[in-house]
Amino acid sequence: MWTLEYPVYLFLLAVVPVGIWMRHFRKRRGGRLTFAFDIWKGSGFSAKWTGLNILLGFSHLLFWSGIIVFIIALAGPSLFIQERIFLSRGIDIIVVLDESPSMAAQDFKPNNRFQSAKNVIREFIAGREHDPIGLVSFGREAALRVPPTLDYGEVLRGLDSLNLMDLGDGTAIGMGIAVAALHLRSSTAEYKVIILLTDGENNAGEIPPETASDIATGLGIKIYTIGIGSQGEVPLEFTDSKSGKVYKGMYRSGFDEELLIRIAEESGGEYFTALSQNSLESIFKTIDSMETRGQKVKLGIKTIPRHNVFLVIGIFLLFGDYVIRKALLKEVLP
Amino acid sequence: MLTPYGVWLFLLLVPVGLIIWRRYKNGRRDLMRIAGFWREEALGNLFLVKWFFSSLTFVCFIIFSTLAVLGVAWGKTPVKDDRQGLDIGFVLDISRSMLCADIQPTRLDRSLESIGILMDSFPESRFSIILFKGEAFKFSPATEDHQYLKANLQYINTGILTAAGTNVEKGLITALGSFPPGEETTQVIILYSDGESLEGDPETAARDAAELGIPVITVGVGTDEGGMISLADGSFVKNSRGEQVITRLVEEDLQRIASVSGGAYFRGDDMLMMQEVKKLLNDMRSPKSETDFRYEPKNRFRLFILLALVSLLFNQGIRVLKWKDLF
Repeated sequence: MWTLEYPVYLFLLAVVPVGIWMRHFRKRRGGRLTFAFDIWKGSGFSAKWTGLNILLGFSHLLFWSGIIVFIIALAGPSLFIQERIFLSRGIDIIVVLDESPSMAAQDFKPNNRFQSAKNVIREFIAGREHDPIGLVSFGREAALRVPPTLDYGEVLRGLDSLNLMDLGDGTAIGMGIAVAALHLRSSTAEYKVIILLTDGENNAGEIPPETASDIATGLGIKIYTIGIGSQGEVPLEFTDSKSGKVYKGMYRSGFDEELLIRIAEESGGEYFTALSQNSLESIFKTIDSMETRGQKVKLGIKTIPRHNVFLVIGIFLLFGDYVIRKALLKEVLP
Repeated sequence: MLTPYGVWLFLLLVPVGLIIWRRYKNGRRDLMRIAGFWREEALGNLFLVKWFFSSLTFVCFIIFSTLAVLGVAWGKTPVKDDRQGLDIGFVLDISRSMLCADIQPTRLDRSLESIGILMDSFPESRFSIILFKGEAFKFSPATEDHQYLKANLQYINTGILTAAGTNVEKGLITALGSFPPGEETTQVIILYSDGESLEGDPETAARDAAELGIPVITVGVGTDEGGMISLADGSFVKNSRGEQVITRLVEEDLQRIASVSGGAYFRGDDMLMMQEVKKLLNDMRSPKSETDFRYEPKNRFRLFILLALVSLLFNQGIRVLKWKDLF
């Protein structure tokens, strides 16, 4: 949006009509020569509306528009950018996502669990504002994919690049929580949250889930746990992104509900079960609303001066007038 | 902020000077032909006076308006400063010449070491890391997760990106986009490069940074004597004629980026460099006075526009006002 820093200078525009009158219409104006061109009782000559006259008129137009542009530049035209500035620190959130092969179970129509979880997390990120979000994934091992950042584009890119079995075929819940806790440790946020999504029992990793959750709780981190998938036999099919091998079969699904409940309760979070894509969506909506705190926001205004554009245009308009009059039309009178 | 490209406008003085000269040579003769030689003395004298002042005022107009475009500034003006916290975007050149060992252990390692030290010195700050060659990419988004940042520094090497070249403009622009939105923090970019064969237009990027109020501190890593670029197998990089390539520190572009963006330039081989960068960052972070005001150079463009307009006013006055009943 455009704005003027000192619009009061625009009053100078009132000088323009006076100037035009002084220069082009006043009876006793200068810049003209009086000489006889008329014989007694004869008829004189008058300037025809020729190309030269048009050129002269054009140069007058350049001159006065140049003056107007200069006066506008004087008023300080600027680009005006309004932005919301957050005065309070948001909540640091790390999403910990299971990428063990069982997440390929196809009980989350139309997608498998993993794809559904990714979609729901994507929506969750889109709904947050000014809360740094990070991403940890785990299989047999756990890894930080994206550190907590406000750069949601990076988080989404990190989320998209996750593949099943990238970190081996296990379920190291403890490692996942520990990695997330480690990376929330140096955070200056008042509220820190881990959202854990898993569909299996802890069967890998050096750190047991209980220990990891104690560490996190000690750091003041709240953990929401989501057990996903229906219990019992479910069909499973996926392609390993590394080897290109297709895995297919029936899988006996089940997660350690007790463990997830305990972790959530100890840390002051909540436990949820997601049996379908819809329930997963509503769980994330619930967490979203539970973890929404009032943020202090003010409207910041940034002005970027743009008078130089006007100045350069004005200089060339006035220079153009000068060249036409003095060089092309060879105006004699200074 | 100075707008150096405005200097070109001074070139307008050349055609203007030529026109003025031609008018002086031919104007008087043309005038006599029209007005009659019988009035030669009176007309000629008046012509000379009017020609002189008219030319002078027009030249003044060009000079003053160019100075206005240049953004000549003096004095300081207090600006209210609500900024809290410090965000630093590191922009690191990972072209192959950064492997040169003219600074021990190599230019790249020395830069990484310096980045690590700065991270330790500002524990509450957010950092992003941008790497560039012919292309630039965000190696790490802005985060205060120092654990992550420091763990990942060790993975930075010249092979991480294949695009050949050293496009510093792309690096800077990526860095400008890496600062989190909606924040009122002091934002600074620190660029590490040997400045050799930089591509893109670094000045445009530096101007963009200046407009956003983000100074670019540039660190030139390398020495004037330079050195050869050693590869992993112990051999050295050779050119097409089979000669070993010598790479040297080229400071000009780095200095220009710093001055245009309102930052500062430091030499990487200067022992005191780290201390000075830290001191500068501390100064930038905290407003200089105690009342939350910082001082910015006062741009005097308005004064020069007024002077330019007054020059034009005189220029027109000389023409419009009839003197001695002649013209």
